[in-house]
Amino acid sequence: MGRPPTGLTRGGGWPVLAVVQPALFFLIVSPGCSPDLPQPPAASETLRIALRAEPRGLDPILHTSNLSRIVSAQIYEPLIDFDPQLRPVPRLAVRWEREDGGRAWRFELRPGVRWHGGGEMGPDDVSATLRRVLDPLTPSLDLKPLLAGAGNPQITLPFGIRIPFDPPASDSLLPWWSLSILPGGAGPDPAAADSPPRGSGPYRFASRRAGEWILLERNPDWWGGEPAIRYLLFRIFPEALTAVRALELGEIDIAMLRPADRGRADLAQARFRVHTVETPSVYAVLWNLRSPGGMFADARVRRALTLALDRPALAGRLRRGAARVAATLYPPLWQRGRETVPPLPFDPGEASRLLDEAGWRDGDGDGWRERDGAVFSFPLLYALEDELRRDTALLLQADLARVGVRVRLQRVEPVALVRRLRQHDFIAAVHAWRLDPEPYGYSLLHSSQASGGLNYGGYADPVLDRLLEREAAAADPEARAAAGLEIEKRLRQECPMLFVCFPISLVGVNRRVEGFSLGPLGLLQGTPGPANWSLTMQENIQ
Amino acid sequence: MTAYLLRRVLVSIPTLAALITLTFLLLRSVPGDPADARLAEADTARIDRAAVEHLRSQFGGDLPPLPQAVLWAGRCLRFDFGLSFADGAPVGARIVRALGATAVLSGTALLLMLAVSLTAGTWMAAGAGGRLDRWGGRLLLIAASVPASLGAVILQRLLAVDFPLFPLHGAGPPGAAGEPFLGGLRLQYLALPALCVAYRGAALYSRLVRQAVVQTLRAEFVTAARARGLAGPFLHLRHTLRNALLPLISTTAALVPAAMAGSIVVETIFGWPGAGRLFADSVLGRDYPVILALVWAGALLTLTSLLAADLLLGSVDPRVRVHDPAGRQG
Amino acid sequence: MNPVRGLGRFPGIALLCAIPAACLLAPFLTGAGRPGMPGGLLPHPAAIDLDSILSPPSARHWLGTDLVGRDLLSRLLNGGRTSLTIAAGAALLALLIGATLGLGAGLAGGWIDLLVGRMIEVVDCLPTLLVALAAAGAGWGSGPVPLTLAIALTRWGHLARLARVEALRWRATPRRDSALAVGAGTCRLLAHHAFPAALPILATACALVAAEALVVEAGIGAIGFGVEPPAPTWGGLLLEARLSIDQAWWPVVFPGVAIFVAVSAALALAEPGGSGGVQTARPAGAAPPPWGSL
Repeated sequence: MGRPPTGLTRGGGWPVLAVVQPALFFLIVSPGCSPDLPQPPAASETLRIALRAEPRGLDPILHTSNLSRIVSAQIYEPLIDFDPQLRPVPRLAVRWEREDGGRAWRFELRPGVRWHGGGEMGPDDVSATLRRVLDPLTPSLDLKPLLAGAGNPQITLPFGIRIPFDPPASDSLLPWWSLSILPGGAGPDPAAADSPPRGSGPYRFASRRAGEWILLERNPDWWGGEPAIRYLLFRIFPEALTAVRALELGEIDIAMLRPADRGRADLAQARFRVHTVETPSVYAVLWNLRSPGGMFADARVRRALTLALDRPALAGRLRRGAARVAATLYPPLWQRGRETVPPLPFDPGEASRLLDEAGWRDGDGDGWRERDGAVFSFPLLYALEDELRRDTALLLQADLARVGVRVRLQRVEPVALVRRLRQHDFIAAVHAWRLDPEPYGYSLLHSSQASGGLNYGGYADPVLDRLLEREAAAADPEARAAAGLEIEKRLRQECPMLFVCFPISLVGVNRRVEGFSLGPLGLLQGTPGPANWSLTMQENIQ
Repeated sequence: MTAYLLRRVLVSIPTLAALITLTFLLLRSVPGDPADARLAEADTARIDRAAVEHLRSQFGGDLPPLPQAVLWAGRCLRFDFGLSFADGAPVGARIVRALGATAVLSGTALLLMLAVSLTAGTWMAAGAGGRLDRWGGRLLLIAASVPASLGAVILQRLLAVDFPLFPLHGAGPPGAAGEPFLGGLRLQYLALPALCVAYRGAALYSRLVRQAVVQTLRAEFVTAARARGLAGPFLHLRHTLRNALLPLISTTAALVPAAMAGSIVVETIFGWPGAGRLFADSVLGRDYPVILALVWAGALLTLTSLLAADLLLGSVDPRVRVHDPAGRQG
Repeated sequence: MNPVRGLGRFPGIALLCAIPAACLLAPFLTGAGRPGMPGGLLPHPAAIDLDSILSPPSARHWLGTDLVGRDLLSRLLNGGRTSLTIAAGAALLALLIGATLGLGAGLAGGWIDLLVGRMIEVVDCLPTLLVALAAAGAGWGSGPVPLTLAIALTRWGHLARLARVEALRWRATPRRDSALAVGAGTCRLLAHHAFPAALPILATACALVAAEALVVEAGIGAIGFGVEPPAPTWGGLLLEARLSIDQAWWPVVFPGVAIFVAVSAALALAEPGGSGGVQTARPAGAAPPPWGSL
């Protein structure tokens, strides 16, 4: 090849230019050149929270996901709030009463509450909000069932409202926490630039940049007193790793952590602490009882499959303690001191025995069980929404292989999975639900909910149906608890789905946040909230 | 020439039509509709069945492909993209912002790529066969084989966490409203994402330029030029660089579709509000108006730049003129 | 700048041959069948060992373990077969389609050229995410074959464009006239004359397609398109491990090295003489650099 005549290098200057060009670029972009531009809020008076995605909308009637609630719960207020021990706390209602076995709910409202931007909150606002939720044209997917049976609200004197219910309402306060009150019932209009969210809460909407951040500013006229923290800045971090790095650097005050990140807080110079809370969600493996192979029709088979999965190892070792094994649908939090039912143990020997009994045996010695010539094999669907689903699927595949059941894993996109579940187009699937502190077993397991409802597996058990109806119609907490216990026993025996675990949320909080509290209702939910916190230790930020 | 241009523009119309129709068909075959997306988002253990059905009908249940496509294409020509299914905000404003952000990121990355590769490639060619050339080549090969998803994570750690030279995340100082997009402060935030988008391309471009310069330096006309006494920068600019630019032009044109799509991985890691992220989020959330608007806008921009690239290539290398294949003119 | 030459002839070639050889041997080393069944020098690639989650390289696990305790060496070797097959298959298929259509369009001109040009444009502008989602939804997603097809069908456009430009160049040379003078038909023109002229440029582009394929196949795995877990692929190993890079370097570095070696091998194969070895006056390697996506 040889070297070409070095006319280039003799000309001189080129190596220098090669270094200068990129250096020039980075010099321009490095900090230092800042013309006169609007300044961001100072970190010393801003609480910075990392969100994993942009909230679809801030209207609390239409958008009730956890992500939207984190932001909208600071702007809007409900009638009643809950504290971290789930005791009711007055919010926009100072007194409340359930009349006549549930035929009406009566609320006395707090006077002197002002809306952001002007106007006073009154019973007509509550009435308008309620009417909007009940309107058949309003696509409020999960608020409507809570307020089923509500009739026309009547305004009572001196400053209250009475809502009749037919059929009678339960004694649950959950609907009155979920229903945020809007001025005139109207939410923000996203198509109009000058129609920001207007509520009565401790923070009001300041500005937003789509896809990047949402900024809230404190409401000095809030009835609970002016909040100590001036700004709430919600930054969108689509990548969890970046959010954790930002937390480490002190650029973010609050972020969700993965189990592996817990160790980062133990370093001596760590700027943040880890808070844990048991979230009211349940992860389960659904069996389609109407599947063509008919594999899951036998309760012994379902029980065997539950016994075969090493759930304690999943929660303890794989998730490093960031999960609690689920016995049935009811998290310990919601059981409120009644007798609990322990989860089935990890017992592959018993699982093998049950499978043998049910007719599934390994006739040809290849390691997989067969019955009537068909191998016990099925596809397991799961969505890659979070690591827990993937871990569950992998571990289930490995553990079931040990007892001779062959599982093929199939990743599915989340919306496609929901579609297939609704159409019962699956054999087994890993899924999760957000739970309320109210009976929800009915909607997930009652036979009437199999088509069009959430009973995706098509489970139909008359005994369980009766128990679920009893629980839903219970007149008081004791009766409900008793029914719940019976339901749990039945679920443990029949194993309609494989209840895997209740996840434990890990939240990293910068040490400068004082007064931080985390309740089971979610991040930044409940009372006390960000309005009651303050920021100290200003050297802990970047 | 004008006839050729006119022909190309006319011929783009069936391309766009085919594209839109195909997109409609694909959207119909994708399982799950916006109502399912809402359901997946809510994930509560209680739903109102009537509300779900109402939602389904509100979002236009099944999309009949052809008539709907025609109607929609008509609205697109008026730049009326409707409202997003996700939150009801106007689609046009949203995609303009996203495409602008992607354009800034892609444009900067492209400039960076060109600058670094021209200098590095020439530098290596000048010392062809020497130690710099060999080690530079190895380094470039390593850089070229690290995918962006990994490279971005590593570069972010090195340049924003371990040695905090650049901001970790975002497209601007968070919370500063009303700021113009290309303000000085924003450039800080642009540097690291642009680097992550560009480094692989720069590595491969450098090889390209190096080979081009080495080839050209050995060609006869260069020897002739040198014999005439030209040396140094003049030699470079007038003779070698022009020839090195040839393959660059055709390959840059090929980059445009990818650049229009945005770099989803880099945008996700750095939180850059670009079109790649918006498209992926819309597809996963079944936000049909945004999906269609992005495909339409992306296609328009791509077709325009491909046309421009073809013309440019034709003017640089007469043999390649499509409008004049025999090279008889010019 | 041939990396093989840079490494010294013998060790370089040996290294490039060792990797595919090891990958071919992999099933015999790890024992076929289910995890937990005896046999094999190395643990099964899907064997979950909860006691050694994310453990560094040690005597028991030479390259360490991943997030669920699976042996990385075993996964790397087994994944190599899948990844290299997909990459090579996609690249060759893209070459076949792209070269045929591109050269044909360049040589024939007229309405064929117009049609092929429009096809390339549509293929370029059609979003791959949508296509992958629709295919996965229709049930055609899983397994290496749809993946190979998908990568080939999205990449042939660029190869066709390059081939077309080369064909146009070749048409203007006197060699074409002399070929026609001896009575060469279209097929012969294409295969025997135009294709070899275009080969240097196409070869590098093809190698780069293969290099991209190694990583792209993992990126669309999340929506159910591609090789199903727990079957490993190199791109998949990288993607899984990169988010724990702050805690563990080994699940990222080793697959990365494997990919680097594969990319070098592909480029060395495509440019046998390295730089300057090609006779044409134009530089080889006129292939598009990858954009910053995956």
